[in-house]
Amino acid sequence: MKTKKKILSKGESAEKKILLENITSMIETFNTTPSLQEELKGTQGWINATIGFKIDNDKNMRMAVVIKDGKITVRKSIPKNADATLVFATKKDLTDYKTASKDKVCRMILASRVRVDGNLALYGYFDYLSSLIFGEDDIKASKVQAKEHHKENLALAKNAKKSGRQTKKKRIAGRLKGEKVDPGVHWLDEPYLSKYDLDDFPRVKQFKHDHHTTLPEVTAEQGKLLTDFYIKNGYETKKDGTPWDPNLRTAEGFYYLMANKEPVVRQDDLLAGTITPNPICGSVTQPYTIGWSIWGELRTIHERELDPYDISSETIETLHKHVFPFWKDRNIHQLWKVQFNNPLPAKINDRMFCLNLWGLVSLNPGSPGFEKVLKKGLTGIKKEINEELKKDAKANKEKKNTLEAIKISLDGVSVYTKNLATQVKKEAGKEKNPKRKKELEDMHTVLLRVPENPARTLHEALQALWIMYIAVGLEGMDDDVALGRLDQILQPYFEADMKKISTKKDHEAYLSHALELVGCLFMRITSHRVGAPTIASWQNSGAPAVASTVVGGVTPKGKDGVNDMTYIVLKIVEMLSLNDPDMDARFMPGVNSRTFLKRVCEVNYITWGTPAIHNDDAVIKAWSQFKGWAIEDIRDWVPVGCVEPVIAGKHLAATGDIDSNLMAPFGMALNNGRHPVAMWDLGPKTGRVEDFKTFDAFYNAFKKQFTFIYSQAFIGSKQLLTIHQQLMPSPIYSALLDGCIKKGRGMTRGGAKYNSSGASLIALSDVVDSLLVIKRLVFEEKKYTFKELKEAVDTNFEGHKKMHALINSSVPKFGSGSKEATDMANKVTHMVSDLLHNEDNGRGGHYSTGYRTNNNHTVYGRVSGASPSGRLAGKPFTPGLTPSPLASKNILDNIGDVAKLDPLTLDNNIAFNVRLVFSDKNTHRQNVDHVTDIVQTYCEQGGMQMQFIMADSDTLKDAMAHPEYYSDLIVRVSGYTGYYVQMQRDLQLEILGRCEYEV
Amino acid sequence: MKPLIIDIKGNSLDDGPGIRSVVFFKGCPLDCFWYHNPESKSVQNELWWEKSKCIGCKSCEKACPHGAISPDASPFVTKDLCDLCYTCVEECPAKALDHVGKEMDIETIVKKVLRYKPFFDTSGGGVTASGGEPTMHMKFVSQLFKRFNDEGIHTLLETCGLFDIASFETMLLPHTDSIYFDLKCIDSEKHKKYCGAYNKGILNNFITLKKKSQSEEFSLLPRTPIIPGITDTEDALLALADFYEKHSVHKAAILLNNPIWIEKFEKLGKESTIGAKNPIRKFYDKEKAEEIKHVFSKRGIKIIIG
Repeated sequence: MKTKKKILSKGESAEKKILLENITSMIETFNTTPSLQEELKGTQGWINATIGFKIDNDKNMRMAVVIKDGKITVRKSIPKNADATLVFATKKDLTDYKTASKDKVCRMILASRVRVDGNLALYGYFDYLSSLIFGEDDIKASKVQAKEHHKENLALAKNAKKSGRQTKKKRIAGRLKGEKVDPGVHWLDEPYLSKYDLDDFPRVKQFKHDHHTTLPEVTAEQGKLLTDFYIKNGYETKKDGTPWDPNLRTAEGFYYLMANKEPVVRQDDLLAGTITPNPICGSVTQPYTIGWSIWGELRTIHERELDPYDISSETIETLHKHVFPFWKDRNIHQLWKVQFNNPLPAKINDRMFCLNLWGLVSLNPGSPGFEKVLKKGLTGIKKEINEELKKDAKANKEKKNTLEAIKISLDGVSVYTKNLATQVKKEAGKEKNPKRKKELEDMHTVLLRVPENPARTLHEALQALWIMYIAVGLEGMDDDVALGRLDQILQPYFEADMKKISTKKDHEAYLSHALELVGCLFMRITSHRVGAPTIASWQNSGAPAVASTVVGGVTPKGKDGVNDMTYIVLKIVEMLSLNDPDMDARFMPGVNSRTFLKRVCEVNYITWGTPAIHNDDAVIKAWSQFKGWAIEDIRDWVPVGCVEPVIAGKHLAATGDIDSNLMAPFGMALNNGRHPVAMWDLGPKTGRVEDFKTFDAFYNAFKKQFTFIYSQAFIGSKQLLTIHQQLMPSPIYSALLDGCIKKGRGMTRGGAKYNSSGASLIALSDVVDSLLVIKRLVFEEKKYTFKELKEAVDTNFEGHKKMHALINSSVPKFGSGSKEATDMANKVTHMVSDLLHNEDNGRGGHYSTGYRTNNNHTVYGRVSGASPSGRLAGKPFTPGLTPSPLASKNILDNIGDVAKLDPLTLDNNIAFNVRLVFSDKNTHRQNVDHVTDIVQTYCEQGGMQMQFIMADSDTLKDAMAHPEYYSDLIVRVSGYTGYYVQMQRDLQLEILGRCEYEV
Repeated sequence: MKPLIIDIKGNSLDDGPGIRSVVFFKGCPLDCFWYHNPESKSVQNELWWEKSKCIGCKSCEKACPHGAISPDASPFVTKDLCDLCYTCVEECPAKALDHVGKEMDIETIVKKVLRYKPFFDTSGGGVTASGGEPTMHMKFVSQLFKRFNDEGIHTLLETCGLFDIASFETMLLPHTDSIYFDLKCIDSEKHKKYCGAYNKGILNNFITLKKKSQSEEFSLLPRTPIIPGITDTEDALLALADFYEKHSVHKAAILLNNPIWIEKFEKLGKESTIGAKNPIRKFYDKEKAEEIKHVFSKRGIKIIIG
């Protein structure tokens, strides 16, 4: 007995030893090195934290590090008031963690093998301190891994043709001319603008070059200014002890930020102003939403493999000592846990296997009504507010404060604009080059006019739009703010300019200027990223800040909306091939011309895969089902975030509110409520598989687990909404949404004319295919018992090769043209929308349902076991709701099946990814025509959305091995667009593994 | 007898204008030295084995009542022992073993193809009958084409040209919108040597149809497979060009040698007679193809590479 105990305790101490070794050496170094002790002190005093370490269900493995008043000590237990605890699921996970590669650590986190409970920001602080000792090792590990990946990539590309390096050049050279057929095109004789290429715009070409060759920079301007302001003026209460109104607190802080923000004009740019002090590309590092999450990586972020950032030592110090300590308890994540006593939805969310609530970051994606500022100017909005207050004598306190806050915030924009004007004037004064001097003087004139007053010219409209984009971004979280219907917004200004010009030659010159201006806007928009921790880069690597922009579609009256600006914007998209603005096109069958659609397809062909294409008819149908939504407004919809529909300037849609893994409730139904990856008895006990007598009985269990997960998601979503109401009431954004001023309620309080929140589900195809297998093989043909099937799934089909082959060869999948399969898919999407459409989101709207997946289909697939569909463990789910590559060799089957899904269940849109490759027998024109045929038919059949990657496997392999040739190879992930060469390797492989259809 | 259908392929761009479905018929009256679809040569049912799909479970070996099959052996089936009972096909969980050709009735084919009609409509595509040689089943194909015409679907026939012209004109031609007519070579002896039959009937059929196509509503495109050393010799090409000139052919197609078909022999349990160094085992050189085009374009004949 005694000996046994001794051995056991030895075993336990082995794990403890692992931790202790590192921690003890770290502590010793800290406590004996004065310069390191300095790192424990912030501008607001010592930064204290107690960090625990434990193994789940192992009472013996407990310890803690206490950082207090400049000293670090170790404890053998975890104090009750510990701020954060690193939890390993099992002993093995702890030992694995110690030797794990960077990739493996991410996989462990995503598979719930290791997690952090408690205050994540303070855990990040501990990580930061560790990086001061072990940072070099960490950077070395990143480099080793990058090297390994490179080696693997070279091997993978060994036999790949290198012709992909020339493909883009060839496609650019082959560009088509277009006919002037669209009724809204007045000024372009050849709307495809084929005579221009990027060489005609050296300024924009230089910006593009810088974009591809410069690392984005983590900046601290916003964090520092907000922190300064609230330290001085109080945060929880004002300095005099009276409570803040949340709107006014935000507005005052925002005013201070804008008034003190550095007015930057990029050299040679035509549009003034920047989001961050870095004019090429910066991360705002918004301190209370997501900025704090890079605390642990401040000293390694410049050398990490995925999404590296430049960072200055001054920025590191400002963020570490000044900004993050202030916001460590004041960020959304922490406030959620504290105010709601660490609720179950937070626990589920933090374990990552199932829910991803974007409310932790923002209520975006969305589309504020920038057009309103272009039309009315800031003065017009202020006038609207004054009139509203005059009209409503009994306005309550909330209304008064909300409207006052809007005015203060708008003043902040005005002050920033004035500072920009002063700066431009200064630079004009110093400028020696007369041409540039003239440009600066013109910019000065523009800045004196807008956004204060209505815009009159295209230049004014673009400058106003850009400043408002900066403002909305900096007021909130600077993610997923859409530009909206750029062609509709800009056309009146373009026409006004054109009408003032009398000669043909001047028209030509102006057109070239207009292209350059829009090019400048695009380069401005792409000048920011959201700096996020490695794990987020791992999840959505290469994702931009996503400024969705759309052209085409119908007007509010249902007429053809294609105009001159449509083609001008498409030309810019073709020439720049940027991942952001994230480009979309709307197509209304029977209204928009084939000429337009063909151009959209050609731009896809030239750029490898943008814009994404949306069918107006299906989206408008989906949103017309809801009572009280005016058809004229619905017709003005814009895709935001990845694909999600929003009514610009009228609708707070929070379209990313609930991202979830549909395979999670499905797996729980197979395991009687236990989640097999998280090893967590989470859901209701819905029965063991051997007890299900019918397929319907199993389906009901799935439905119960689904309902359970979503009931938790709803709770979490609404809790986060209340946090937003306190923390981020967004007065400016609210001013740009119809309804808020009149109601006197900000957007977080349901002020917008229309409200909804969005859900998106991952793994639909795989769940549907799995259901079909269970139905057919277990309950209809009775080839296997449910228990046998589950055993095969649990063992990744090891020893069940025949069953696996039978599943793949004999059960029709979604996308194969089988009615049974599309019926099953519709059954599932109806189950989802029936629940979500009937839940109030806390702002008087419903939850919309959609199927885009970012990169989560790869990530969740990587950490999930096998599925009954035959998908093997670790393999990605399909992107969006794309059918399995095994469904059919014929792309028309895929297309036909996706088009058969009921649009009423897809109001948050879908991502249907198609990878096309082209035979070199065909001409440019034939290829473009063929793609156009496919898209047109898909839309006419009712399909909602489609996006392409037009690169063949050899090109992708060559790009993995030789990224230097493919810096602007953009690919559609599932929704967002990214540069292929910047993506995480698993994602690259997933894209490579997507079925390629030869055209 | 219902014909055997090998496959109905969707989204084919090589077999006519627009997006098309191609119905492959089994059996051909010629016996070409090269054969791009060896599985469609014989009119009989055959066994097919897709090695890449095989999981090595040996279900077929256990199931075969005659001991004729073994995926480890080459060829995988001993033809003398196999009586084509297809027990192995039924037992194969991976569908690695399959029939080459299934009997299908007209409505089954129509139903399979009809779901792609919206794509045909947008792209100006339709249905192509190919093979093998569809005209071996003249009545069936004519009924099938009539059904497609009734549905408003464009029909295209790919043919080796060896058929009875009288019944072709009465039965099939009225329902055929377009004909891709193979002219392998003009020299009749050579044709006999490499294709197993003299070409007199084929050339006459072509001439008849060519004349007719000038007044009737169907299009006719001659196509020549370019097989190294056989149909790409100077003599062969000049003879072809003369023939085209004589019969006012201004547009024709060439099909470049594509060696993928050689692998298909293994899947049929047969051995290919093509030697390892034969240039037929390689993709046709693109520059050479341009030279061929030039031979014809000099004489005002436009060549498209199909």
